[in-house]
Amino acid sequence: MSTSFQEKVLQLVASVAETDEVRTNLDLPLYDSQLFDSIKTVELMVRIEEEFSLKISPAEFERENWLTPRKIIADLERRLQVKV
Amino acid sequence: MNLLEQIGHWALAAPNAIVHVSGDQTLSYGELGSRSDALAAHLTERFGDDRAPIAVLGHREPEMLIAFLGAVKSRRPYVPLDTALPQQRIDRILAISRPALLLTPEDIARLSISAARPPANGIQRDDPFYILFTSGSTGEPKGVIITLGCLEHFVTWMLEEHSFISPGEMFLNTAPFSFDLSVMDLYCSLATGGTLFSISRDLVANPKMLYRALANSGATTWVSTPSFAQMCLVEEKFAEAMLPRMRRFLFCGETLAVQTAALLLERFPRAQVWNMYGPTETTVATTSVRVDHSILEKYPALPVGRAMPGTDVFVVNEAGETLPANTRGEIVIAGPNVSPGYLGRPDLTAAAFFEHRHRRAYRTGDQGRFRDDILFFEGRMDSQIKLSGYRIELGDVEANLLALARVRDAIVIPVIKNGAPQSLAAFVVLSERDDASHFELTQALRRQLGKRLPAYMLPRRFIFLDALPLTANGKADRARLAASL
Repeated sequence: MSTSFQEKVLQLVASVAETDEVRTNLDLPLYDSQLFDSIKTVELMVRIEEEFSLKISPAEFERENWLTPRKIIADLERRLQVKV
Repeated sequence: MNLLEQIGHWALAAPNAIVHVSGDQTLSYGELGSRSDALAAHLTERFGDDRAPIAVLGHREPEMLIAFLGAVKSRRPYVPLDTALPQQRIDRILAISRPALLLTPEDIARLSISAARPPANGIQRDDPFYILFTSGSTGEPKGVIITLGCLEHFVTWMLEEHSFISPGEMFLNTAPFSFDLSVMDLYCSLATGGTLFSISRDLVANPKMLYRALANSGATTWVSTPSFAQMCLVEEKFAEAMLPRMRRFLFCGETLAVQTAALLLERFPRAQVWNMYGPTETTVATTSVRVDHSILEKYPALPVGRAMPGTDVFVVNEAGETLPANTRGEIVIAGPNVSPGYLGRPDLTAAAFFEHRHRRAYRTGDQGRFRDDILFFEGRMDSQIKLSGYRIELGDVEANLLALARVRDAIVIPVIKNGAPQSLAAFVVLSERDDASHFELTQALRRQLGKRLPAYMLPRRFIFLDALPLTANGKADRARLAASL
């Protein structure tokens, strides 16, 4: 996936987490740092659907796949490749 | 028959019926009856005529119900505390409420029921039933006293307004017992011989488990803040097929968006959607309206409804004069559901409560207007806000920030998205600053503040300034700070 894809994802994560730290520290533990909780997770799902037309089902969502910004990017890349 | 007798009736009529499900723990009406009797007998023997409250600290365990009823059966109010509260906040609440005892689920589990002799049920309608703590503008939590009479007035109305099947309802409990929304599901359930199905923190943190639990709940009545339902609605499968027995959604605590109500009606065509309004001081909710398609089509912002019978709701101007329809003013509530006041705070009680035609009345600080004989809520008159249904005084957050070392000045402003507060931003002036990055500083302050305040009160954004901008009068310029967000 392109850098612009990564940049777009980080932009969404930064907006939802309300900090730019996620752009520079890709291994930032989002839940442990209390930047993410269930409402933020769902908010990001909605933003991802708007941005990438990628629907993520909360009922099938594994939190382990979104623990850090790097993991979110990897998870979304995987989902988009499967979709293609 | 008073509310306690009504609840006690189910222990005799259906002792094996399940009253509470929380994770893999269940409790029957028979157990609830005998174990709360035993606790009441124990409290009476131990404390005699001392009517100091009983604090109960836990998180949705069935033992909490035993503790609540045991306390009130011994004519002592209970103070519900959730384990998610930081220790310092709990300590403040305990210092204010001065309970005779702090009970945990483990304490209740250890209590022997062999000596269960129920004390005579001498509870009076004016007796405090529970004391619920809310955010106070000076940084001190306020204890709202709710009497048996207040609670009975509320529950009677709920039972008249909704045709609950008795027994047989499964009420969803989404709010912690320290949040007064839970009083709605808890006591409507107990009064009708229903079952309370608690959604714990762990479930909310794990959406996959949450939807699985919802699907297995068999819930018939949904009680939550609109935010919680909005979150659930992101999942397309959250619909009638997942919750086939769902008959009604009851919302309170914050603004219900038209889109949320419309989506629920679409996904649950056989269920009703109700919007309710009321501050903790008037016992959970005071007005309600069924939101159907005609209401959705007519009003771009949903009304909060009509007053419960026996209670008056009016909109007044600054002089306290009742305003005509379609005029915005402060919402005042008068009736038997109005609290006698704040625990140990005659000053705050006198400022907000008064007598109106021989009934207690409460100035809500909420703004609203009547239109078509229905009340519309239009925000606050002060700096109190609601975040995911939680009531927060910005002054409470500011006072606790100022109590931290190195914080010289602090102003907290809500971040508004789509017309509603989404999070808090703190503008902070530090007395000294080291080499820590902005993020490190933010995390450090959140950590320190998290020891004093519950998680929902913590600002998400911190903006560090050399000095706060001031208005011409020398006060912090909140408008300018808000505009900068």
